[in-house]
Amino acid sequence: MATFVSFKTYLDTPFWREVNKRKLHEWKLDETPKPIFSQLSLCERNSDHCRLSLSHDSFKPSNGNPNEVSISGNLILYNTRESFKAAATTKSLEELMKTEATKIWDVITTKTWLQTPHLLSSFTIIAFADLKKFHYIYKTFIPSLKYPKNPEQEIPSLSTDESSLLTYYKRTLAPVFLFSKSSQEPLEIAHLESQVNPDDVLIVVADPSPNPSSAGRLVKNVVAAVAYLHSSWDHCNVISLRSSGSIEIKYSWPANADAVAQNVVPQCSGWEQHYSADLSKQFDPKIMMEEAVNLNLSLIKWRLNPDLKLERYSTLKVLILGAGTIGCNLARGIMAWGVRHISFVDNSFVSYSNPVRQSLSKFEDARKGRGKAETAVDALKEIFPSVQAFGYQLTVPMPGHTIDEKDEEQLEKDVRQLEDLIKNHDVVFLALDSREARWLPTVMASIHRKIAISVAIGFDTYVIIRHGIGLRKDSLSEDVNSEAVPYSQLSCYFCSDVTAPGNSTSDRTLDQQCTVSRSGLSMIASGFAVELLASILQHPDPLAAPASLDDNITLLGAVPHQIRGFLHRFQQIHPSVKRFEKCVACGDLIADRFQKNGWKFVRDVMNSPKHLEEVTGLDELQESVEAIDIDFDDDESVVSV
Amino acid sequence: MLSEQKFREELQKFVEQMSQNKWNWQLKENGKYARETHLETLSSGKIVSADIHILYNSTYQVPTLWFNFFENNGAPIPFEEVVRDILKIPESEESDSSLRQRISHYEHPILGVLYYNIHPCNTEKIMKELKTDSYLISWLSVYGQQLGLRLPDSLKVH
Repeated sequence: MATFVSFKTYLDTPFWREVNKRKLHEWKLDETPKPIFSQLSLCERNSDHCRLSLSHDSFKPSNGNPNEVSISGNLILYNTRESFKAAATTKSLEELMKTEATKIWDVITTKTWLQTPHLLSSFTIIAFADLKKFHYIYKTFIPSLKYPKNPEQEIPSLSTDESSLLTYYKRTLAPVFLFSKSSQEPLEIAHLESQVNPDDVLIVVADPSPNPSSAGRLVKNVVAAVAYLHSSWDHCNVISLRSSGSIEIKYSWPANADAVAQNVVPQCSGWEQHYSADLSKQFDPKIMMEEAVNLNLSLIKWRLNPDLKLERYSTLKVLILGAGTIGCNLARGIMAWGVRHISFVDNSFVSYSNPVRQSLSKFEDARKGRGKAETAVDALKEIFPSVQAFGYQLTVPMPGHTIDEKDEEQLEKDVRQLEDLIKNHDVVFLALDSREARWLPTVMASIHRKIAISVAIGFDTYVIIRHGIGLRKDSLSEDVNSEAVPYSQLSCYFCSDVTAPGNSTSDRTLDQQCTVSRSGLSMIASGFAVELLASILQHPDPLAAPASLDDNITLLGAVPHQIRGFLHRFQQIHPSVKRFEKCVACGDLIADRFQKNGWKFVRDVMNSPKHLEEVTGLDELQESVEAIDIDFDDDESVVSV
Repeated sequence: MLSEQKFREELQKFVEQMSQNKWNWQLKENGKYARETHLETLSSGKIVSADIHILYNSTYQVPTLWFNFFENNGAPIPFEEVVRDILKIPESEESDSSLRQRISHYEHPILGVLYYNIHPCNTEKIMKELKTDSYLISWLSVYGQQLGLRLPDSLKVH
């Protein structure tokens, strides 16, 4: 039995892009067949199929190339999935097959092929392109006639030198031609008609078959044409011409066994299976951006360190308390690291002074007096539609900001909401504009073992502190002699205070209330805070990343406890400070009291910040300061690294 | 460095030379770039088509390699497969591998679809170290190697 290598269509992304473009701008709803062209490589080795390849330039004929053979075909692009399905039913496929087979049979019976051998091969692609979802389905048909029936093949060694054939092919690009054995010369295929003995000529077919013992399907129609032209012949000799490794094949068939009536079209085959493609990643702008963002991060990973754990950013939930200049910059920084879940808490509104300083608000937001949290969320989504951003208009309860009885119900709700938010996130950034607003979140983050990073700026100074993880008492047994202070032992924003946070805005004049700082400062501080988080997350165990300036401690380098910067000298220091037992925010006694009394404890503190000092015993400490000489041993409480 | 005109001349020469050696490189867009495509088998056994282009980079004034790999339905294969099966860079390899440092993913300047390219910032330095008859053949013997593009034996640069 003779075998013929079947085709497989290989498309590429640029092909579909061109289809998108033409469908939208040129073809629109026109479903008539569109001419397309494929260049079949004669150099292919690495495949089980003849490759029908299509790319962006398949919509116009090629100039021809000596290592390829061109075939032309049609693309029928249906407007709906339903009409594609209707065209792909068994019945419709058979009809189309019959139509195409008839065309080729006509070319054979009218002998047109002797002048235009290209017409012996063609292909048809039926397809549907969903240009909203960028899903594609298609099916290719390359007709090959079953004529003569059941041919046999033999593969003798090449009886001529392939290079002279290739030279002729390069010059003429004739897909089918003859080689005369007597004159040892290539001839046009038209000379076949006058041949008497099939063994006087070789029929040379440019063949994309990669198989060293079988010709491709293109050869099949040529054999059909030869058998029809010379109905007395019972064999022919074909050269399957390739750029290298051409083979000679003798096809034979029972003579006259197939004396088909001229008007009966032989059977035909050649449908490939259905294929579909989802190219939303390539063409859907939203997904393209997502992919581009991810790929950019993958490249960082790939270049910098293959062990970089990007999923620690992409799965992270970050809560930003304060959607002001720092909060906005923090969000932008972590978003670029791949963080997808960002929540803001803020109770204030965009004012006219904000947009020039805050990277997520505009003039219009100020004019409309929109909420800062809401504005930041919308801007993030505008920048990167795939981000999951949430805004909460919520007032963080603050010590010293006294509360009326009638507002207690609201306070209870606020405390619960804030606690739920902190519980439901992995990281809390404290970027609120006052000292006392950071108090309650610090208490809660410590109780719920969250990564909490405080970022604060003055006029030309900044401080970034990562708070100790969890409760102090849970970690005291850890090795404290180590140079690096364990994460659980790090001080919080309040640890070095010996007074409780009070209402820092009540006695101030307006210009003192308003945070004035050098305008680059927030970007600097936010940038460092983002990178501190980025580094912590690359520690083998992020919640146990000790304060350390050793740049081998994480894949991204050092993880300091504090970063304090002084812009007037462009100077920065990185102190590590241990937790203070009696701290008014992260102290164990405070945690204990909050866990017992909840919002009522918060109420008491709001009404009297002194309450904090009583709970922690800080008041006693203050009283004793006068009497006792406290030995502040630097080596014990402050480790400078 | 190579002027654009010189690049085009070299490209034409290159394509002819490759064609004689049974390599199916073709000039595209009036000689603006050259393209080669062939099938490649991945470690999973999947056969994909490789699409490789030589374009001129006018900033660095050197040729650049742009490439991508597609499944038969037109979808590009994932980056991880490109790294593992095509570039064959082991996961554990040191991060200073020159290819690792220089590979990027950008919109193809002519096709408008994302393709990989190898950044040309080092090309000039490398080319200075090579004695060349044909600039592009020497260049491809360095850059094409990373894509598994072996040059015909008769054109090997020694």
